[in-house]
Amino acid sequence: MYVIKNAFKNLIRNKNRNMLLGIIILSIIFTIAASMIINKTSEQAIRYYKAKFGAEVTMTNVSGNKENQVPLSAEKLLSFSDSKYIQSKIYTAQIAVIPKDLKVLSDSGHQAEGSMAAKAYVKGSNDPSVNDAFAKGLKKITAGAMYQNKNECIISNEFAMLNGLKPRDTITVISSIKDQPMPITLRITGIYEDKSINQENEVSSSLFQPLNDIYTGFNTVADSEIFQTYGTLDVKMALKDPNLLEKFKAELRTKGLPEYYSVSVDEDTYQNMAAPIEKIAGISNKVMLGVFGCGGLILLLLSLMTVRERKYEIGVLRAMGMKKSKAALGLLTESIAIVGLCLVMGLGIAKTAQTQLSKAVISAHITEKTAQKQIIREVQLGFNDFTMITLASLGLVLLSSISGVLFVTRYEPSKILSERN
Amino acid sequence: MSILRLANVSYIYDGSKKRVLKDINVEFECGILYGIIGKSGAGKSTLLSLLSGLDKCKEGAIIYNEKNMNEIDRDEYRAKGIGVIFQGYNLLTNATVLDNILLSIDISGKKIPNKKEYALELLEKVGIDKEKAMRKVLKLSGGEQQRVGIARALSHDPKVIIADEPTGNLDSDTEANIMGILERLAHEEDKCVIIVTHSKGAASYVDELYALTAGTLTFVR
Repeated sequence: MYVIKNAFKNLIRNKNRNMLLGIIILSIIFTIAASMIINKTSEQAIRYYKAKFGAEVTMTNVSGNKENQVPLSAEKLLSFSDSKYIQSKIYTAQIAVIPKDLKVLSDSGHQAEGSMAAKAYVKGSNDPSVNDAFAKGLKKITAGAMYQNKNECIISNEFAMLNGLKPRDTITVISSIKDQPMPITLRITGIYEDKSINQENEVSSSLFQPLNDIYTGFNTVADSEIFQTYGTLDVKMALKDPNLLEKFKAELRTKGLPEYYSVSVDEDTYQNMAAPIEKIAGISNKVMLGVFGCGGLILLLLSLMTVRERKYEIGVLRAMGMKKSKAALGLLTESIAIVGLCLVMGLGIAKTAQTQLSKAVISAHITEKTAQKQIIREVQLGFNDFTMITLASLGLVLLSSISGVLFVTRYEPSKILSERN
Repeated sequence: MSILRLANVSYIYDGSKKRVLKDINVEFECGILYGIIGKSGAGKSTLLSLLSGLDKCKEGAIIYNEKNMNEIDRDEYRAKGIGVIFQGYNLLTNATVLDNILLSIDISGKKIPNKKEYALELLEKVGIDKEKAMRKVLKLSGGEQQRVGIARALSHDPKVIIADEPTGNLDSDTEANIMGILERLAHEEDKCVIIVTHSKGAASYVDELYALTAGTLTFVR
């Protein structure tokens, strides 16, 4: 259609004006796309922080009253952790036992008459990494494998050497209550090395010698008679968001947490990590709005400033017999062509710069390369983002063509041409 | 038989009480070069606007090809029915000479097999060669631009040509040249050519002359 053809020819005829328009529109589109990338990167980084650090909940008995010094039961603790506000929870059930027919490290040999002193801990956790030590590499499986099933366990290298144990051997532990052995038989699946322990440090009792610790699954310990009798449960919970603390607190109270227990989170650590990233996202949003607003205003002013030139052109076309609708279509086609080209270029540049942009946002705050790569991989402009950018671009089309379209629709050609002449 | 007829045409601008045109009755036929002469403020531009379909008459009727112009699509009338040559040329200044002609053909909807060749031949007829046809309009002289205006007005082969001060900005030699073209259009191509002018020199070429004085049109010769 000649109107479209003429519109494209006009783009080249009015090179300077259209280049200026193009630069402004390209800047706006790129800024919007870049802001989206920054926001998405920030969201992913914050998600990473929350996953990594969460907001660990601490329940502290602040009562000075002796009557209130009874620890919370395992049942209660488990019910507390069963909450929609909790992101992660690690249970560690612990029993102090006597390994049957086995030696222990740092054994003082003392035993009061008529009593059986526990010599080691059996610790059962629902977290396969057991504690941070495994995750950080301070504890490492050197033979065999981590326990998978019930009644499987891992023991330290030193404990294994002391007793000539190896993977697939079985050991039995009993309670420290006389005449109530409540035995638990465990199959060794793996041997671990603990680099965090300095063996030269003296310990007062074998019970406090970490190399005597036997690790197993949570249910192995929690289901045992020994645990039911005198076991202890430690529950580490992390909220999805520190801002959920009050709601979580209210839920704990309805579940029976006494008033003399205070509930708090280590918000400072979380905020120290997440706040700078959230700030970057906030600044990016403001910049985007500013660029869009200012750019839009400049486009509108430019459109109004070039109105004289466009008015004359429209007057001539209308005088030649071109219909209003076609004249308006021609103007809109020009604007759509410029914005369309800028949209493709802007998104292309943003996509190319995406990795660098994301890196720039997170590199100062997240130093682990694998975490950085993971976050950057997750940052992708999706359908909704493209839709928003396209809608914003349509707004720019309107701003850049509005004066011309108004003249086409409002004024008769005789008036336009008489003003010029 | 007249191709264009004004019947009791009067015109008042919005917001004004003064009649710019008063009860004009005139018929225009093909094959004749008409001239309408008048001083500044006589109402020439207004009459021209009405004749060229740029404006609507408030009283009376303008009949084109036996159809009342108030009842026809004025955009189509301008695109196909008439060709207008403006005093200020009113060409698309950022386009080439050739593009101005081609666009006029496109707007009229006239189907021409070799549009570009047709346009170049038309320009040749009015004295614009191929090399000048490829130039931007502003690179031509006033007289050349006026010729382009004439070629544009002829591009869709209208029956009626209306020229507003076609020689207003030109020297006497160029004036003679332009008037010669307009004469040929009327006498050799059987078009109805109406020129509106204040120049006595241009008026001397016409077959029939009318005078517009204070909104009233009177036949002179």
